[in-house]
Amino acid sequence: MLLALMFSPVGWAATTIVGNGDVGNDLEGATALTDSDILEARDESVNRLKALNVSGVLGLGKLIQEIKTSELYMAKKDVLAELPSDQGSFHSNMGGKVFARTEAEPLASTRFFPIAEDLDENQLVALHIHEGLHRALDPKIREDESVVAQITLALTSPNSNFDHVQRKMEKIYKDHSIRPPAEVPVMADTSIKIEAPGRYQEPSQISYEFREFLKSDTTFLQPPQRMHLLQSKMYAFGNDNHPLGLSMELSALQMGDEFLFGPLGIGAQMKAWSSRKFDVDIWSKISLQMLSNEELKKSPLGRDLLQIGVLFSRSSNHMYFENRWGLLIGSDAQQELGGVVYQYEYGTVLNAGIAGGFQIGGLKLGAFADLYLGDKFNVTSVDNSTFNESFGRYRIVSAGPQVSFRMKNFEAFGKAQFLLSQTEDADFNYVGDLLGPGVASGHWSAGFSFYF
Amino acid sequence: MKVFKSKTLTTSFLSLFGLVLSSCGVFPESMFDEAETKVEFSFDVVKEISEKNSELNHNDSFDQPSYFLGPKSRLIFSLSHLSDHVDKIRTDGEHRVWAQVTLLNEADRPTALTAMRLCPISRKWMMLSNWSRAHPFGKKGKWKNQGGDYIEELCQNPLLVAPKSKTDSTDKMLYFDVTPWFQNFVQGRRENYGLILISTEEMGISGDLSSVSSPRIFWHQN
Repeated sequence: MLLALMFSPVGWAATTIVGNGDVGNDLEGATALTDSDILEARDESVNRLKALNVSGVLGLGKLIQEIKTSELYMAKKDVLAELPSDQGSFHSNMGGKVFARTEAEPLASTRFFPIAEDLDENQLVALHIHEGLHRALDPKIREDESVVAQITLALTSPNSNFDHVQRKMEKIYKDHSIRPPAEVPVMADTSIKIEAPGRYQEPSQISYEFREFLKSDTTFLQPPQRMHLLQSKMYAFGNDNHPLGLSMELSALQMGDEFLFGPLGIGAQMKAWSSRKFDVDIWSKISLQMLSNEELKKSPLGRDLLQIGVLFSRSSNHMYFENRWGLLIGSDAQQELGGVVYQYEYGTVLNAGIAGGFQIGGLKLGAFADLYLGDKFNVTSVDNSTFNESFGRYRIVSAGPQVSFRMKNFEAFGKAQFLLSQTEDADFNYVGDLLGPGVASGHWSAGFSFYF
Repeated sequence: MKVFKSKTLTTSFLSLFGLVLSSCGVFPESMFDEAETKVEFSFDVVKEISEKNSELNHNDSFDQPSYFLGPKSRLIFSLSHLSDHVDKIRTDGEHRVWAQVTLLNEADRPTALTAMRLCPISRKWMMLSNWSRAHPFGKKGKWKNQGGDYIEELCQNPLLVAPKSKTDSTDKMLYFDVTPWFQNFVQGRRENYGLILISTEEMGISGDLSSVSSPRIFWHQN
């Protein structure tokens, strides 16, 4: 009903015969859609049509296939509805700007215009169906905007069902004296199966990040002041909707006047699930120390680390939100000071994080908050019993701003992380994850990524 | 059994012979203190805490050939394996447990006799300690008193003269009778956190990297 109201100002009262006005002038400069709400809406429209079993409806046997296989492009700028084919209510808004254009021929491509990104999911679903109808219907009616609008509404009505759509199509065929072809394939499984473009076509990335750690009042001996982090994620396996890849992280630490190799991170991650604008990523990672025994004595951070995690993210036209859960498995590290060897026993740490913000084009501006909940942190002198402290369960709450800007395959990013609340004087040294939150009382970082 | 008898007889004979010779003044008495051994260990953990080095990660605060004490600079010690020797150490009026430090400058000796004290530490500490913190972890890592927590009533000033058994003493060496600390904290049930050397006047002492004059502890045992 809302959808009907939305389009009611123009309606489908006037029969508009649109020709094949798509001469391709605005195709130049358009880019293929790879990651957008519009793509997700296409999947949703296919799902809804399948639920209606429209493949079995008179004259709609090719509709799902048309929607699934049409190449989608995004024009660089909005245009006014000047072509005859733009005049229907599904094609342009009240301001006269065109949402989308397609050629009324089977297998033609569809171009969306930036104004379409303002539509909500239901509106985008209707737009996909409407454009698909222009290509899938019988040639006698596919360019009749009034007919296409009627069928669109019949298909997208909240009360729509197979019988209703079937009766509508029978009436239209009768009114326009269209004789159903005897050989019309009406079953879904007779359609040509062509893979639609996946959601993640270029998920692999190479990144560089620079981190400056903030000073801590309760730091260990020689904490690293800075870190350089080189990261690569190669999604060589899976498919475009569920890519599976391996990652590697190399780090260098600046400790005082000298540089040391930091941990080496090796992991695997997967875009596990994507639907209804949600993306779910899962990952696991092993951080291995690359320091020699002598170098390890200088830092209690020389521990190997295993962690697993899951990231839930959802983005709309101008907002994004993320939930992140991670688990760091406990391990030990040793530090030698003046002949005394101290053993640091890091317990298992649960990480829960949330992030969100605004996005305008390629710019994302937001903030995040993280909670680290550790089950223990023990420090013991190994060779003697002069020191033995157990710090039990602790929490570390941190937050900070984050910003990124992506242009095509290149992205620049920056963020800062500050302690908000912690158990006594706990800080990130208690977590001992250099590749994660780092050390001391937080950090600021900046870097860039290249996606391919 | 025969062997035992023979050994016993031999030992008895030699003891009697030695007693005769000793009473005649042929050998000094000390030659027959062989059953009593002087045991000397350097403190294996030495750490300077100083107000000027407020950072916990100050590398110059241990493994040094010398340290400078003063109102804002102190030295903390521990000997981790001392408890291994407890059952062999005899303490009484004559047998004491001594701590020794060596001044860099002999001229500081008169001042040190009154300005310097050695006290039992009353709190856990680690090599990351500094003037304000015993260790870097949590609120309980802070000293209650800046410069270290110690038990005032068990503090010892240096002796005016060297212990009788210390035959290689020099005027640079200072000796503290730490027997009360040993009896209470090492032999006894109280937790041993080591000792802290404090001084109201500025003076230098040899550090743990000094092989012959490092801070140390010694006693006699049977």
